Amino acid sequence: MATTAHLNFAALARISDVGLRARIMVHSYFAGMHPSPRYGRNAEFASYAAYRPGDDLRDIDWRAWARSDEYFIKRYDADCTLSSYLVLDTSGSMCHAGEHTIKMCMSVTVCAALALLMLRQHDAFGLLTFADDIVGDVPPRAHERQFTRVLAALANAPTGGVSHFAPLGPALEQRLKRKSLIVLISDLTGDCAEIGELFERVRFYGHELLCLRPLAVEEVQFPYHGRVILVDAETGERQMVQAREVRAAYQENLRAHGEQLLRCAARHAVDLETFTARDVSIKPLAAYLVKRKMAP
Amino acid sequence: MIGWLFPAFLGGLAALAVPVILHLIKRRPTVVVVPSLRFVPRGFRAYQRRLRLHEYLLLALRLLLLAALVAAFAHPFVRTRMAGTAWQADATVFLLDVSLSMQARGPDGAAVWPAVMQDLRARVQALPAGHAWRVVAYADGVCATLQATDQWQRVLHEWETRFPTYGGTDYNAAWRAARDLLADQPGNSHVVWYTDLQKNALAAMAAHHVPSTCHVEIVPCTPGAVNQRIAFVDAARITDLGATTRVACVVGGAVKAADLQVYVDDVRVPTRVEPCAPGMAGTHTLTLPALRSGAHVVRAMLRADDAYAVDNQDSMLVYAAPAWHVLLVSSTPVTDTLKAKTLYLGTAMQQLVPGSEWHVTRATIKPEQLATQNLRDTRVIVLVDVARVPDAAVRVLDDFVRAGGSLLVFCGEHTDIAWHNAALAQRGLLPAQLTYATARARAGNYTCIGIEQWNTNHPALRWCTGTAADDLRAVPFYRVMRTIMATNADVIATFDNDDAYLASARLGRGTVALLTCTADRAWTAFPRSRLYLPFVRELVRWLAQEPDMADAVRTERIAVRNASDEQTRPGITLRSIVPLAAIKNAPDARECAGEQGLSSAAQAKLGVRDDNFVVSTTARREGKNDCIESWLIAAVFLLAALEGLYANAVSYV
Repeated sequence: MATTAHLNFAALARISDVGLRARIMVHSYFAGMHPSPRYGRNAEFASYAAYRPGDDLRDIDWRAWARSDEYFIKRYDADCTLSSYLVLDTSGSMCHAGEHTIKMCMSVTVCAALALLMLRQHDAFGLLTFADDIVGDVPPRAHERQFTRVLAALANAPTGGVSHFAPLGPALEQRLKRKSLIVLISDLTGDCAEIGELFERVRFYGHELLCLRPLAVEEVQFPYHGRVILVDAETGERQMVQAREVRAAYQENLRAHGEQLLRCAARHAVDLETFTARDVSIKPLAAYLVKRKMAP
Repeated sequence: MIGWLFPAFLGGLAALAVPVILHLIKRRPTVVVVPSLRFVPRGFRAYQRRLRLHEYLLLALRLLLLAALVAAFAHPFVRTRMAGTAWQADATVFLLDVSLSMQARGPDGAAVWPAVMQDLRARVQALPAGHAWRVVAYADGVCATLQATDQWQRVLHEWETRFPTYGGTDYNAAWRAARDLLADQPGNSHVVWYTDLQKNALAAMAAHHVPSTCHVEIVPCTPGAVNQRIAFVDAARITDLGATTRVACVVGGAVKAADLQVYVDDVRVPTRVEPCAPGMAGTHTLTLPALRSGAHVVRAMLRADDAYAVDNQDSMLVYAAPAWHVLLVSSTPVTDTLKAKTLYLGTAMQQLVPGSEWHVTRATIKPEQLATQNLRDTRVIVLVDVARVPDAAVRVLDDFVRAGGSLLVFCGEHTDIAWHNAALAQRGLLPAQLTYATARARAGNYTCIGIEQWNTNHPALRWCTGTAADDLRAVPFYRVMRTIMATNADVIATFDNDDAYLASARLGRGTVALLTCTADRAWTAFPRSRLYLPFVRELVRWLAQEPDMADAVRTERIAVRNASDEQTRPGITLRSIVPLAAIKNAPDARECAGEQGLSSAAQAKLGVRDDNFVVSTTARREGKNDCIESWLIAAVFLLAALEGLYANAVSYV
């Protein structure tokens, strides 16, 4: 079971100042901060359009009428709210025993921080947990109690199993009827082809996919010495190795897997960010959000 | 066949269990949970097999390392020639020690040299016809050589009278001569070495390489009484003595006096030792300068660069005793020494030769000066023809004698007989009452009086055997004091008129003695005799109750464990001319059994025991055995390096 005992809500609240804005056009009937294909009452000028009866007289550009003796109305961009899904990987690799439990704690922290952020932005947000299959679902909502539901779902999310990304695509397709923001929090230790298929499917339906990939320090550095028996946290498979001999190969394999994921993400316009988790701080997430906000 | 010199070290093989236990218990791999094995290289089974192989190889390396270390400590050697196996040689060299110490005699008076020559003749005669043999006589160097000729018996007979000669023993020169003689000799060779095993002989021999085709047989020729080793008295015993300390080194054996160096507190002191007697069996005493009170370290060695310093230190006895003082009391003026009554007496007690064994200091005072404060370190007070002494001085004398001092009274023409009888004899300070002086001999003729008999067992007169050289009967006395002996008196020497010349008695813890004649030439010509000096010195030494130097020499017996007369060890056969049973019962059997050539310190250094001494010496001499030891040590280093490299390579830290 994941835990939320380590969450520092004061620290989580500070991240709301950064904000998270979708990069795709989203549809919503409520005013928000995300771009919408519709025209609305935003301050940002969008275009002129010929006046048609029924249009609001307040939109007529009288200067244009004076120049051209025709009626034009000014149209502005509309901002709306966003519907998003926080998709959390609860497989064994994310929360195996030992020092790597920090990886799951950080993932929960990121989930909670994003949920709070979306709550502040009046966006609808939900939580989907998966491992072998979908193990938990909190449909997106945009009211205050949703945050409590998400936290409860995080705290009660069962952990373990092998992460399978194949059932994730249909599940999201079934649950999201409009373009949404999907935040996938997983170490992506699965098959790259399967992950690429997920990326392709999600992007096909017009959703924006944001992948946050937490990795433990030990997982990256492989700081073991002597003869060790390695136990797979997902499958329980054991392998006795000489740490010094396999360290270089292990790190090379991990780096190659990361590069393959990056290529796959770039191909499908998926934003992939890898965190090296040393503690449960939200600083890496905040840094990422700032970077995303500053990006063109 | 492999033998072990120190098999007790093989118990160290139990240490082999340590790496086994470590590999079984301490070397379990650490279990680590990782997110996924996807990134770990494949080949699980091959990997595990290789790791197991590494583990076993490392375990074997460590076991080999420990085993080689233990084996090196246990000193393996190859038993090429077992006990009792006859050595078939094509050539024989007899090395004959003809140094001065070979003319020593055993405790029963039997000389060693004739026995050596007889044994040599018997062995030469026993050689088969055509056998190449040589005899090399050596001392400081090679003195003579004899080869197989028809005249060899005549030459050996000549050698028996010509040798031993003056000279030391150089084992290296002897061995070099044997090696040169055997250099061109094909086949096996045999070296028979006659020696008295002085100067740590076997250790010196151990420095040489003996080829595997050569068999060395050592024939120790030392009876028990020769070159006796005297138990070493720790120099730390020289402590808490009087104001001045006399230190004497008793040197035993064939020590050359000119080479002796004595250090007191690491400062070399001048010493002088009389050369050794031809018998080489005596002890030699030298006296060091008086030392201040306190602890001193005295070392004695033959030379500063003496290779056998340890052995020679052990063959010396450092003997220490407090110095003492003789107080001469005389009424005659002491400033004019020629007129003094103490002229001859003082001269006799003077140290004539610097550094000699006589160490007694003396002083002359008047009777009025007799006081307790003047008696420090004084053991003997001599009244030399004193008329009388004050009453206070009599009390001082009484206390002095009863406390352990000695009083010697010389009579003379100034002696107040009445006062002596009343003041001294009544108190027991005289062993007899004086009556009158007479010049008449037994026959009634007024001829010279002579000493007729004396107690030759008395410590003061033991030196005087009565032979022509030291016959007290030839000493003329012109006048003597007649006496009436006390009941407890002991008459030591008497004149031919039945009067006592020397008498003594015990008083308290001390001794009083009376000489009924003068100390100078007034009544006798004794002071001009050459016997006067030893007489006075031994008398004073006895009165001072000085312990006999010989009594301080402590000797210990060595247990000879082997019951047979012939000991055979691989490489060296040790055969005694003197039966070991006789050696065992000898008064001092230290040098006889062969191993006595080594001091206890050297024995400890070489790890020698009574029953394996020759074995250990032999193993060091065997070239191939040296190779075994060297190879083992090299293997230890090689295995240690391999183990370190391999453990580092496979990360078995």
